[in-house]
Amino acid sequence: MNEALRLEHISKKYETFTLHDVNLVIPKGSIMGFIGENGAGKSTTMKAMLGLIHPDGGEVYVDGKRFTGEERGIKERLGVVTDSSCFPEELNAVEIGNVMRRVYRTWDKKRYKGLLKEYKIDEKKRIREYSRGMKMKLSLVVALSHDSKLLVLDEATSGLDPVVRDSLLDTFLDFIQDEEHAIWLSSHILSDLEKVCDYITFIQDGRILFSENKDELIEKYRIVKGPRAQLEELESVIGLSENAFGAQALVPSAQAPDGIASDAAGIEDIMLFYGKERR
Amino acid sequence: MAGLVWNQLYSMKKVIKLYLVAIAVYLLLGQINGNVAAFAGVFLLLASMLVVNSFSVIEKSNWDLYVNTMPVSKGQIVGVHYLLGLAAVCAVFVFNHLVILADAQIKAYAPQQELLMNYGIFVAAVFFLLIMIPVLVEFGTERARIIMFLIYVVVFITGYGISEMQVSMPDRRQLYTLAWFCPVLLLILLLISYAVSLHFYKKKDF
Repeated sequence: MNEALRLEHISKKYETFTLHDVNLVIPKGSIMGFIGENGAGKSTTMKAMLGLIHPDGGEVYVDGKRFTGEERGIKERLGVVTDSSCFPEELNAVEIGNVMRRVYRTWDKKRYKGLLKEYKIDEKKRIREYSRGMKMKLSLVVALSHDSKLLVLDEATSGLDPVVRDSLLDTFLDFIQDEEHAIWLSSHILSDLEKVCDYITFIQDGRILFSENKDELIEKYRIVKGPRAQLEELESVIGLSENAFGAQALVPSAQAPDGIASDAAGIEDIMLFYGKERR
Repeated sequence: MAGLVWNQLYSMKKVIKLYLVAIAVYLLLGQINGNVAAFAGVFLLLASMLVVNSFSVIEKSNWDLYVNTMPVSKGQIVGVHYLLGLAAVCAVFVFNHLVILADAQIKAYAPQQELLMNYGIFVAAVFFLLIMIPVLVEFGTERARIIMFLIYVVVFITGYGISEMQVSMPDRRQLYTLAWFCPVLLLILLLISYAVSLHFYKKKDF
């Protein structure tokens, strides 16, 4: 089985929001970036995957095993970091370690100690005295200190300074060196995703718009620039925007016209143009 | 399960210390007052209130979300509250029992009435716990505190009503018979309470 994670037809209906038939596959040995605006359904999808909400339909498979029924075994191999620290504030890192070694059968005390040292996390300080960056680093250290095969990181790098973020991204890349490992990472910091991700999935209004190989995705589109009227005449324009300096449009590379200036599109461009088009 | 218990103990160590200080103060007051047994009820009330603190700590840290990503069952997550609540109440019951016996030994009196009172309060405290835990699971600490207050009011009004109506109270023999049945009744209530809490918890989204 080469799939670390498979979501099949996940749906969830709330009063004001619906997750529509979400399908997603993360191959082993890869990092999947999960992007979308606030409220697009990223956290809801991740929560549905983790069994934190009850989906109305669909199935989750981790390493080929159906999540329902194998939940405990699967969670033993799952590392989760959410956008806020969920550890009780009165505990310190030593106490967190004492709790976790009694929860995870594969808890590696030595690795935990080593990672605490590597990330310069004060073992004796109470969690409530930690900065946001420290809290996120501790969450990640816990996720990496048992035999996690899949890391699920919901906005784990948001609010962190560039130095800490860069060090976390290096950790992600180290983690993925093992071909059995995979990471599912949601973030608004698209430059981070561009650096480390192999695949990008874009969700908007509870629907997956695309889920593709990052390099192919970037190759697939170009930004063409010119007068609005000229751009509007182009076929297959995915999105168009205009500012004081002129207009620009996202088009499939294969259909980028000759004679009009064009640039390579980044993930941010693709997300922005897709978003504008759908509105 | 052991990890979850440790998590709760670590999270509540400050509160537990505070409660121990409160118990020491009441013991001292009891000594000064000449009636240590009179404070048994206060100790048991404090012990049963620990469960509210336990829920409060979890709500504050969002631990419920995180613990549900860990390899533990929902039954264990709910079970920890019962385990800690009942352990605290039982420990205080045994402590009170020993204090009453020691007091009776020193002052040379027969402590049957005090021991029966301690037992009665213990049963009431366990009953309170078993009612409160499903309420806390379903409504959270904010609303549960209001419900708890309403329970106190209902109990007080009922007690006051009974005393005003001059209903004949059970005699000592009847009380002893009732005391023998209480563990069985509490065990049945425990099973019902746990099942209800688990049902509520399983329905929750995090």
